[in-house]
Amino acid sequence: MFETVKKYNTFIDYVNPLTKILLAAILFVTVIFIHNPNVLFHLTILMLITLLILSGVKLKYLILLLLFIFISGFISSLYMIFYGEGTETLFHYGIIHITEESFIRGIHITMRGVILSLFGALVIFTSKITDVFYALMIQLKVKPKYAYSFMAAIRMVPIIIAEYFQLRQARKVRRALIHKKYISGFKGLKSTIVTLLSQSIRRAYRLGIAMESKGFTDGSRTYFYRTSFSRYDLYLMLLMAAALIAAVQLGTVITLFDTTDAR
Amino acid sequence: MSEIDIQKLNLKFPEAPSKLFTDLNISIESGEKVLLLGPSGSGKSTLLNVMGGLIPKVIQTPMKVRTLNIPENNAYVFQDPDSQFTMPTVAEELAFILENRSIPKENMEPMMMEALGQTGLDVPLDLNINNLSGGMKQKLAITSALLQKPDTLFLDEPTSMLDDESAASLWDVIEGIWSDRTVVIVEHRVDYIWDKVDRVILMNDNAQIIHEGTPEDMLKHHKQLLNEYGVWHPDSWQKAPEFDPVQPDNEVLLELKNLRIERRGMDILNIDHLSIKKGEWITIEGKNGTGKSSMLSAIMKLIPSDGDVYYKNKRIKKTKQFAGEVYPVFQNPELQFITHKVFDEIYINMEPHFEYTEAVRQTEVILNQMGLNDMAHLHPLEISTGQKRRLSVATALGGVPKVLLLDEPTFGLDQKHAFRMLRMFHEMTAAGTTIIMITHDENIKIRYPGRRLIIEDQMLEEKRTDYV
Repeated sequence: MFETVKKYNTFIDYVNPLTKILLAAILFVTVIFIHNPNVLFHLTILMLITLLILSGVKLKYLILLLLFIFISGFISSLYMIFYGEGTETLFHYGIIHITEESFIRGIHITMRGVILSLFGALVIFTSKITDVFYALMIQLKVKPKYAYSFMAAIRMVPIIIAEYFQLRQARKVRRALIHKKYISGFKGLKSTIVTLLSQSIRRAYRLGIAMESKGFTDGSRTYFYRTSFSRYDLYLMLLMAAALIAAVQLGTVITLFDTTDAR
Repeated sequence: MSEIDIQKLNLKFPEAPSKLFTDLNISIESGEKVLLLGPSGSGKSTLLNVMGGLIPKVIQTPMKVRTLNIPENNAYVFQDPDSQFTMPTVAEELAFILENRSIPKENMEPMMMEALGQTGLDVPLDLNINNLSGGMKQKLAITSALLQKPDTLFLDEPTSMLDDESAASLWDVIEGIWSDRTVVIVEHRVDYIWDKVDRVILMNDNAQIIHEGTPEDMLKHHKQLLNEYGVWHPDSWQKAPEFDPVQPDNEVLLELKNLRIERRGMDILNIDHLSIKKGEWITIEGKNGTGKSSMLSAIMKLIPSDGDVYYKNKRIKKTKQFAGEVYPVFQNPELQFITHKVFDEIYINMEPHFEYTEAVRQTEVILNQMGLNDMAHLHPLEISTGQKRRLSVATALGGVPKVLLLDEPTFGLDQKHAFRMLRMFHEMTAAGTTIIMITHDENIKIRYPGRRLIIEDQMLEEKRTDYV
């Protein structure tokens, strides 16, 4: 799906998607239990470097994505910063009350989110959607009917988006010929949804018939892709473990925040 | 030996008021090539699905039959390229079939390459299917059918969404692989295959087999029957309506200057200068993917383009400035509908111009003209493809636009309705409306337009017209 943004492949592209999902889950739990903002800061930097080097995505797209991650991370921290409790007041105006504690807590929360976003981006950029479903079928014994339905559904998404834009254009020109009550507001929204849904249902129904006519059953089958666990899975696990240990160590050496517990 | 033998077939769709098939008999010999013809709604596709065992196994439908011998190894090619592929890329789609057959992974690629070689589809295996043209998608559908190792092929209007050239090329491919197979075809566009099939079967609106015979016999002795049911046959255009050419007005309505359209940074179409007069009938032709539809959207200012569009000497910057006066009918009729009833779809166009009773009367006139009265109470999305196309053209009639832009308005229509629509276009041009239509149909291009425009090598050029 990402042919246009990818520049090169790295070993992470060959890691089993299940390993990545598992690591993401472990990372999620881990960052929740890290209360030292210094450790979290170093982990953020290390994850950022990992994404920059190992995702294989063109820098232009990475920068756009990073901007988005950091800006949305910053905005989400504002709640914590503006209205949090604390004793060391930095700024006070009306209901806005920024304290040193709330500021650090806000940054802390943001870093958790950013770490998970960065790893999530790494997983998405290095996994083919078909590999994910093949891994689910082969390693986790998910039933083919679910896996293939999802893969077929993903193929439909761009078609539905294209259809939505065509529908908007069609309405733009028809608007001039009819009373606007038919096209604007709730009525317009309803007919848009009904049209798009009915088109998709019709297509899904036809596709279902086509799939069965091609001999698809939920029974045993062979697989075109062989997803398995390899040394690359081990490499990625080691890399993540190393990053975590490095972050903890660096957190005691280079300390940007005075506190070691943001709670 | 007969490959397919069905005797006394009775079938009724649960939601239908009456039976579709009553005691229908059909048998097809092994290796025979059969063409099924009939007006839309005559049950051709349903019969095809019964012959291939999809009904009642996959599409659960109540049916009763005395004898049912149907082939075990069969494969289908359906009409809509976008709703018959499961996977994103060519290789994965072909592998899907081999996986279904439990072929070992090692054998998959050689089998794919062999099948692709047979259909002459020369594309990289990892290419995304969405990047294939319509014609190539249908070739891929045939390639996947071949991988099912079928003795019988069922083709359900495989070329209905293709231009002439792609359709011809697809039939060549099909002919190349059909020699030791039984082939049953449902198709509207029959020019290419008429002489190549062994038998033609004609069905009527009541899903009965009216007549069957060799293609020569059908044309020689039963042409009247074919015309009566409005199905296309190789001589259909001999009965095409003829009109006296309309002399267009001198007033220039639309003018395009240095129009340039890009798609993903690539130049797709350049128009140096084009002026279109009141009452002209113009066709635009060009292969699939040359930017004909984009040209209509660019004229309407729905997609960005360089250069200028003038309407009545006024420079147009936004769609709003001339929407309603210049009106496009797009290729996907479904997307142009707004209401929940066929009647309302036309009525809302009349509403701003007439008081209630007159608006209803005008609506009925148009419904009648388009042959849609019987389905006026239905939802626009539940009528047949041909009916939807007619309804989408009908949505252009209310405000009486000065310029109509039509994208393949006669696609998928049967003979009767196509001719009726052409007559209507003629009457409109006589009344001063300008018609600009994209069409693939050679028979329309050589008969009706006053001017033919052709897109070649990213340029729009005028083609000299010779009326027949």
